[in-house]
Amino acid sequence: MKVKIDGKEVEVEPGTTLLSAAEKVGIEIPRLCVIPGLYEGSSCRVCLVKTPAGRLFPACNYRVYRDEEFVSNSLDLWEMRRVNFELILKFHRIECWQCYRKGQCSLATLSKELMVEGIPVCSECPLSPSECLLQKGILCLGMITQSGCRAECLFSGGECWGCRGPISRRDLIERAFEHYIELGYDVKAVISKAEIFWNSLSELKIVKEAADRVVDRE
Amino acid sequence: MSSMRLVIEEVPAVAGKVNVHVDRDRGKVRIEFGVVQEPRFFERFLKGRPAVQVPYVMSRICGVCSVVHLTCSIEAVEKALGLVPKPEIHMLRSIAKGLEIVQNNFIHVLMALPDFTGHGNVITFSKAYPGLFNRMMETNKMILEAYNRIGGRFVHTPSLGVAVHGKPVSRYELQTASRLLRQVARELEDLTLNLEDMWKPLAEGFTDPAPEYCCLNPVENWYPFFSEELRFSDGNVVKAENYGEVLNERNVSYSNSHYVLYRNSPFHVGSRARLQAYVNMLSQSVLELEKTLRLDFLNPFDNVKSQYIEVAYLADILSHSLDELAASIRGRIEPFYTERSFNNSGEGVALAAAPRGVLIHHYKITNGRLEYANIITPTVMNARHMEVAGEALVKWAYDNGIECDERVKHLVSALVRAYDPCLPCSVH
Repeated sequence: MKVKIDGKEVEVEPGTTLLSAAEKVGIEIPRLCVIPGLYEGSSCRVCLVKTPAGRLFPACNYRVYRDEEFVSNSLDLWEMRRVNFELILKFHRIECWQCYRKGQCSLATLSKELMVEGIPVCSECPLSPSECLLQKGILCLGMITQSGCRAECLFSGGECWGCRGPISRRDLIERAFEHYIELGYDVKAVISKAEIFWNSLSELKIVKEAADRVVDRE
Repeated sequence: MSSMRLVIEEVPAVAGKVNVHVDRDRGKVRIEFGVVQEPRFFERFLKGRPAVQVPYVMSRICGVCSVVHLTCSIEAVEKALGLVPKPEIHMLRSIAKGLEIVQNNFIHVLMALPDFTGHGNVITFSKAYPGLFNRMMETNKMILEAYNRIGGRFVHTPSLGVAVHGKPVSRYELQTASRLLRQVARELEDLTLNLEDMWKPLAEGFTDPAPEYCCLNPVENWYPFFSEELRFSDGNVVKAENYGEVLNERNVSYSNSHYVLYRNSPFHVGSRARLQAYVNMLSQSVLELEKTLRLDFLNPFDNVKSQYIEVAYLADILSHSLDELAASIRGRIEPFYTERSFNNSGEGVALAAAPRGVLIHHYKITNGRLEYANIITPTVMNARHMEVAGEALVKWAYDNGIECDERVKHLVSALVRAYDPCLPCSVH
């Protein structure tokens, strides 16, 4: 039977998932929870596609049994995927500086694809947590800086100076400051370094407030 | 001599905004070289900042020659704080800076070449000689690749810092960079054969009206990338910390940048000044290159030829240095970090060879924070010399029957481009 995705027609066996059908014609649909053959529970709803009439289906477990047409690339679909992903990210305790899944994290990859902010530069850092520059006495701003630069400075052997701006999640900034204090860094020194690139940003106020809350708690 | 008033607004093919006013009245010529770009106050806004952050911000003075500002600033901070990096780290810094001079000079030659071939700008030049242009761009790529092996990213290199060299450099990487530079040197020899005929002299017979030059004093007969002394062509050698005694900084009403004079007279810094001073160090092949290109040391336009020859010379000596360094290490040079208790006080002046001349960074640090900064860039040193040379050029043009305004404008603009294609550092 024939399936048409974004105007591209493909012939598939009955019972094939939309995700496999799309892959056959070279269309990449974003996904998070699906592991083919192991888990196709469509929990994340990041792989949403729609019919021309506007009905939504998760591409990972919708199986095709008749000739049908789908749209996988439209503005409203990307917006819905983005909202679904943001909700998932909200429940994730982001502590990339302690995570060993550097460069292979689906959350980090998808956040870039869906343009969802909130993942720090540590997710792209080439150094493992045991080699972290912070432990060598180098004040790196990776923990509180928005990712997306492929950690260019860290790959070149330097530290993060925060040129991409701060991350927006207050809980994450607070956890990062707790970690700075734990490692013996002065919060004022961190803020002073952050001011180099963030002095004109309104978000700097959020960072300063988060730092104050952590200092008060300590 | 009739009177004439010309204004060249925003000289083309130059980074930054500069206006040149030419006044010629009854045999007298006056040129005003006015940088109209907004000042950025680096020396002021860094006051009170932790000294260790200073080099990283100072490198932002110029995106084109960021490495020299970064390394010179690092040296000055280290001197002030009394830190001494390991010799191989210092060597790597010197090589990184040498590679920057190679890359910058090479691109400057490419940007200025259309003035000599009569093509006006690089776009027209690239259409007229696509093969040659592509080969030059490929050569530039090789130089950048060699830099990448040593320092990592070229613009605002993150691996260089105060008492830090963050990038591990293996012997294989050193050897690869050396191989690339040897390839660049060979490519330059080939390119010279093509350039020999098309590189016509501009204003032949015009000579430098103020032949006073300055460069770094060589250390142990080795091409100096960093030095403790300035050397002037009148034989005067000045220690870094005494630079203020001979160099006078002045403000002028028509320019946002300073002027720096040597004992109240203009002087030139740059490749032309360096090559004249270090001519004894040049190898036979480089001297032959100089003869082939018919370099005239006294013609300010031949600063571009000097840069080309300097590229060939530096590619050669840097590849040897890289080979020597590769032979002296085991495995790789590990990232180097010092214990960062930078709360000392002190004063440091660093001199560095920048692509366009001599760069001075002078800091006073109190309890680990910057208290005073003074930066003198090559562009401000050359500014007055450029005016004096421009005035002589306009007189020379009139004496040689060149009276067309457009032709005079072209000559003056070409002179600015031959001196310096990048001016924002003058309003740091």
